[in-house]
Amino acid sequence: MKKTKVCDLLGIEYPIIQGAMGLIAGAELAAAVSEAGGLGVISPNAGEPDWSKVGDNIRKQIKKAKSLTSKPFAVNFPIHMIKDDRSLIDIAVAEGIKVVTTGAGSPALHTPYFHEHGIKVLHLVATVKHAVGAEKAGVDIVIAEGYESGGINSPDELTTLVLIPQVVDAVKIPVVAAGGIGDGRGLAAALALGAQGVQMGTRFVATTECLAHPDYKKSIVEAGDTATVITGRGLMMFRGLLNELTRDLVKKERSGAPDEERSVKMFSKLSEAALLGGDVVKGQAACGEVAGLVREEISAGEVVRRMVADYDRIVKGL
Amino acid sequence: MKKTRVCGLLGIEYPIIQGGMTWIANAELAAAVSEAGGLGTISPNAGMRIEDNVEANLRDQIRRAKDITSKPFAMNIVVLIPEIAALVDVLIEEGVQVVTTAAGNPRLHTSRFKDAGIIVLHVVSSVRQAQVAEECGVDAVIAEGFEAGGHNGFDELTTMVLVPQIVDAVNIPVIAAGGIADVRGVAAAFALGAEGVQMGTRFIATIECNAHQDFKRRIVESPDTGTMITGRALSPTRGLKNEFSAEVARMDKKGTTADELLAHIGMGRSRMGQFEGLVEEGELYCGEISGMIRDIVPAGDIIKKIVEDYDRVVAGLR
Repeated sequence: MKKTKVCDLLGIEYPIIQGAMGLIAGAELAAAVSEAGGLGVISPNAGEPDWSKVGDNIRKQIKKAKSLTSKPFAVNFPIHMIKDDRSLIDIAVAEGIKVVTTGAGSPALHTPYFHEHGIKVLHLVATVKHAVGAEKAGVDIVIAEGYESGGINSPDELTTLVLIPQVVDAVKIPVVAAGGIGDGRGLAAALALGAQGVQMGTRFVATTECLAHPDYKKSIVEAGDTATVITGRGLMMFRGLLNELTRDLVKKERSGAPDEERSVKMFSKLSEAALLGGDVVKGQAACGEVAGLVREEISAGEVVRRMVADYDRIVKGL
Repeated sequence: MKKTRVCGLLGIEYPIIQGGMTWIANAELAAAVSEAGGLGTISPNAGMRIEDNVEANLRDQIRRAKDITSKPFAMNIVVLIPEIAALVDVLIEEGVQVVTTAAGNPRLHTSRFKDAGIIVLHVVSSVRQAQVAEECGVDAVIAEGFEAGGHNGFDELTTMVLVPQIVDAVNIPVIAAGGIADVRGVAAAFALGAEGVQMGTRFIATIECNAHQDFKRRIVESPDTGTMITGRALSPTRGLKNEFSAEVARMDKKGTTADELLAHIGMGRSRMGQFEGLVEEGELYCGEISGMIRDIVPAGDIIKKIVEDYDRVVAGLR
């Protein structure tokens, strides 16, 4: 497939980025994606539910990924977790990381610091206004994520199909599409909308290298089109698998229950239970709508290779 | 632009269909779309007063469209409405060749249309609904995503994830709807495996559409975040944010029942907003893509521009 501006900026072969799924985007997955020509991304708390230990974890994950690939990979920094503390960022700087993805907070906070250290910044947005703000803050690329995506979700509910062209029209920096992409068709569609690359989370969960629990991967592979649901509307919106936990939350929302009854207590424990513990019945199992298209667990490299091969065939047929 | 099975099925030049919007999909709009090589669609209640006879209105609309164009156009039939049997008789008598059906079980009427030699396109919003429609003998499915305006599926599948999953599940052609307003959306839909597109919101902001000028202006002025879903638990509907939607949203939040909601809002609010131009009191069905619509143009120009730009967009993907 053709090279895009995202390939040139990041020094990668294909504009396919692996999303930084909290708890489960570890070194093995990131390295496999990067080795296949995409961009792997490490989550600070991969395999480490205790946030007070993420510093050591980031260092360990980066070193491990470096031992598996010499190609570029990124680290994700959720801004609402790190706030204005740069100690975690400094670990990535010391380890020679050249690309970061950021989200869930102001891009103005750390972007200049990253740039001082020669690090490219990809920032996650879900509206035109946020994309314009991120561009002003100096980020190199925006990742525009639609309503179909798994995990924490924007209250504005713009889908990938409508969000991408509007963001592309509003900013000059390259736009990466995220949400609802799981194969070569989604890649070609995203580029047709004007994106210069894609980011995928759910598809990369169901890979052999991902450290997600086998039962969680299995539930993604077995998911049908209607297997996910949004919970926490008006609080913290989240898309995950429809299960005992989320069914109950939806019921409460529909019957007009007060906010305190709908907020998820012990949110991180419930995520840990599903993603690392495999409790997909009572846990909070982040998952995008595209799970219905994910039909087998394969290696992350194979995901990238199939997408690229399909892309060329699809584009020829348009 | 390449020909697809949808072109052959409907006898049209370009696989671009204008959605049958209630009250405002009038003969002049449908004829203009068909004259430009797409497929126009008339709504039986286009332009009529609530107390008028819908059969007579439908007959009048069909005859007016035939005066303007000799090309095929369609009728949109909401299968759930009580007058359905009489409307079907009118279609057959007036020789309408294509119907789009929605909001009801395709088992009830498809065979009657097929016996009369009428082509049936059925609107679906999940894989299961598409499979049922195919079993019932419809000729093509219109897969409509969460971003679409007006009445919306309960499952909230976006066009990006819905279209490829339906393409994989049925053999009949799939037409993508929801979130499409320009050549980028058309090319993306084709990349996802669709063989045509249906657009509603884009065709409201046209010279020929009989929607009130103030409603058209609201669409043109709408930002990316200008619409919202109301009635999530009862009958999810997407419209422009205004006093009406805020009022329904407040009732939703309290867990209102269908009867309470209906008693409060009464009938005819969509006509009030869209046709009479009471843009705060009335309901304004509108898709998320309204943020990308910036002008009121002749309907034919929309098709002409998409066709002109298509080859360039596709060439850019290779």
